[in-house]
Amino acid sequence: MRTVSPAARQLAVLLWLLTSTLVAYAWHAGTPMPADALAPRLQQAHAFAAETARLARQSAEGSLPAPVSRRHAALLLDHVRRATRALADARVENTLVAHREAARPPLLAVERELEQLAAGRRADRGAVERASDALQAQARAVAAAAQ
Amino acid sequence: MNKLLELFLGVLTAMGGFVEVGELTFALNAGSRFGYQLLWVSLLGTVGIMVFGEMSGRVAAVKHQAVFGLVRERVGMRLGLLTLLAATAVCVLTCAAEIGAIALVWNLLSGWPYRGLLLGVLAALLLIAWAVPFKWIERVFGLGGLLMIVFLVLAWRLSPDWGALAAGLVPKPPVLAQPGDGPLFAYMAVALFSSILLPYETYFYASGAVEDRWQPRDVGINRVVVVFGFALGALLSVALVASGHLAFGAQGIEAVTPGTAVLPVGDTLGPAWVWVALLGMLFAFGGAAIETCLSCAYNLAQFFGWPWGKYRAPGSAPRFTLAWALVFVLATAIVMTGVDPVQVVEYSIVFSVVILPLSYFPLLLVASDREVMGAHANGWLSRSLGWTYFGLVTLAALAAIPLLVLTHGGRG
Repeated sequence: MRTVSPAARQLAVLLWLLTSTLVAYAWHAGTPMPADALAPRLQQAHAFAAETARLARQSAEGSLPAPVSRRHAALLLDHVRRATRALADARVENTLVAHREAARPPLLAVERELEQLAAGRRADRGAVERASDALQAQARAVAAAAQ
Repeated sequence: MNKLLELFLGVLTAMGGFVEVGELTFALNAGSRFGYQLLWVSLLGTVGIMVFGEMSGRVAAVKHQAVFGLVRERVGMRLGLLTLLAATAVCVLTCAAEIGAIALVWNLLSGWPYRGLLLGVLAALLLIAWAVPFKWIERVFGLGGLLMIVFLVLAWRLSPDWGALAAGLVPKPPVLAQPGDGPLFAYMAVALFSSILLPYETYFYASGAVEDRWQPRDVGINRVVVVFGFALGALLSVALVASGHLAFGAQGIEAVTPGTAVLPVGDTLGPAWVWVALLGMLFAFGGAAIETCLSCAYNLAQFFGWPWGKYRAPGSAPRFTLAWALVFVLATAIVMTGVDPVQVVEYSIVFSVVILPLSYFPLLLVASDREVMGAHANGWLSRSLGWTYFGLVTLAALAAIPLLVLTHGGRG
């Protein structure tokens, strides 16, 4: 009787693991994002906006050294830009498209104000706070839809 | 007098080296998301690192062998090799995150471009690891990391509700803002626990004891350094959770870069203290980068039986020297791709907990073995605590990956 060598068995298991992981990934990537996956992204967008509002206040009050404030704003801007791009590229379920679209203008507003802070200029604190509230509302609505 | 000074410096060094970028972000975010409700995890993790740290130091003092020598000896080649590969992967990822975090802090201090700074950090770390003796690396980074005490002062000045804070140290079912937050709470608990019990700390501590040529008579010093040093370090961890709650909780801010951590420092203590906090981070992350990198090289050398040790000239331990140099280069290459260091450390911390049981099992066996350890073998307290924590880390290891998937990488 022919037997399978241990090396061949191990290779077969490895190939099976690799293939099933790739299939699972492809299936996951092709599925529109449900509410429970979109909610954390919106929550994080809100967290960025809240931090920007705080940075704008601290920058205006001088409770952060000006260079640190500028450089931190630049780093945060990089994160917000990535979040905006990821949200725009996300394929979401039809019922969530409106929420995704509604989050875009406030995120762009946050980007604009962070650009001001990174350049050492004053940010419009009112605009950032409105953006933060709008993102929080979207995050809460989607989280509620996920329940 | 000299002995007392050694002891004092050892305790301070252990405290200063307690916090790294993963613990900083997880502790702040745990506080921001769940208030004081996860404080008991900090306490639980601290007792755990004391138990295994003390055990690894004791075994190193008596048997003159560090963790991966024991892994090879007690669990055999196959499982040992698997543990070694996993530990190396986790240490390289942690080192990458620390290097990225150093560059981010350096960027805040200098304004120089991030990618250029990554190369600067690589050059500085290679130079320090090559030229500076082990004792000085340990002392300079450990004592410099003490500047992180600024977060202890911050928590104090934010006037926490001491009753609520004390209540958070007792485990109880969580009160959640949203009913679906259960898995996230569990994920944060596992991650915070893992960030305190990071395996490289034990690898480095035991290897350091061998480097320092500890003898059985040093077992007492080992116990004092571990208990007091880690207890004081845990105060920092508690302070970070409390600061996260008081400074960020109401607004829902999450720490995504080390810069976020200094916002409340400027607000509460004044702008000058921001520089102190940033310098503290630079030392703390720098120490962690060197420790994770050397841990990789220590593990490889101990497992394969190569000559190792910073006390040897690089030429007389060539494979050990090449190993740590390559780890620095590889870790820097990872963050040069543009991947976010804080995200890297989040993954490395969650995967760390998976290898903890495999690292601690042989340690427990040897430390309990009377034939090897003689009078220094585990007593009933060490044995009970050791096996209890072994059970806990095994549970955490089993839960870590499913929770990571269930919470979309800890985002909710």
